[in-house]
Amino acid sequence: MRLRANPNRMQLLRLKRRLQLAKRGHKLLKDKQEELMRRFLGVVHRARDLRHEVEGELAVAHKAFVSARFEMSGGAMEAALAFSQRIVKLQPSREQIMNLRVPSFAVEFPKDAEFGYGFSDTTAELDNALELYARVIPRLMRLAEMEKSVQLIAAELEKTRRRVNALEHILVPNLEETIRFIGDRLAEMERETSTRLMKIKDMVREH
Amino acid sequence: MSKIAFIGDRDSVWGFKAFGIAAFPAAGVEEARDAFTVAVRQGHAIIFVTEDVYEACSEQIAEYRDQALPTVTVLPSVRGSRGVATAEIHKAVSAAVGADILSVSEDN
Repeated sequence: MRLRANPNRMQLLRLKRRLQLAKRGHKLLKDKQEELMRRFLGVVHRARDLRHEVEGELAVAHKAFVSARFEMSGGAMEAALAFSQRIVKLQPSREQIMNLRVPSFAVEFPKDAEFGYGFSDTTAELDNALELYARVIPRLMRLAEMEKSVQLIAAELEKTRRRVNALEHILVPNLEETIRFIGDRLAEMERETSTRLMKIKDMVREH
Repeated sequence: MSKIAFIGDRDSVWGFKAFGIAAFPAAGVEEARDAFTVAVRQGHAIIFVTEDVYEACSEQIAEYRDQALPTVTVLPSVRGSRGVATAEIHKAVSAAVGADILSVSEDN
């Protein structure tokens, strides 16, 4: 579609500058899109595999916990869990990917610390279940981090792709068409002027 | 204060208390929504939710989709996984790439 612009030299110059800018923007966005895509593909496969593993392990741990729960009274369970010393420490920060900020979690987890509860009123099943949970927890943090990255990069990729397409398929062709149109019009006016001048010259000579 | 929260049915979240993770037992849709609001207000960096809670709070969770923190992650509950999180990944992929390249590579 041709843009609305008066066919004169000023407009022609302006449009040519705009075209240049649009092309440069298009190139930059295209580079950004490629880089985002590269990162996205890297993280998305790892995220999917990790998700798969974690869901499997968590299912096992959940099962162990539920069977431990049947062995103990609610109150004893509550007390045991409240006294546990194996606290996960999380240091959230943000990592920069292009213009995006993705979360990054530093996890501090005492690997071999004792569960701080007494042995008398807890069962071996509970120990076992919590041990299974403990093993999967650091990876839950990784999963949270990676899935968030996947979501954020995906949203940004979609936005970038729309922009690239808008520039490539709409703005640049429109500008080119308009520039061609104005160029033609100016050439036409040029010819018109020269024929008019020739005509006038003839008229002048006849006198 | 812990920086991690887990909202879900009692059995799924209870065990995580032992690791200093804030457990929010929530039985119904209303409870889940309230728990999510509280968890966000308390400033947890990671909020784990079970699939049921994720579906109950999907509107609230969508508000935080574009932010780095809090990070909301879906985990299976004790009743097993219905693959909600995997579906989310696939959705993200098709939005980003324009085609679901993950399931294509799985078919082969």
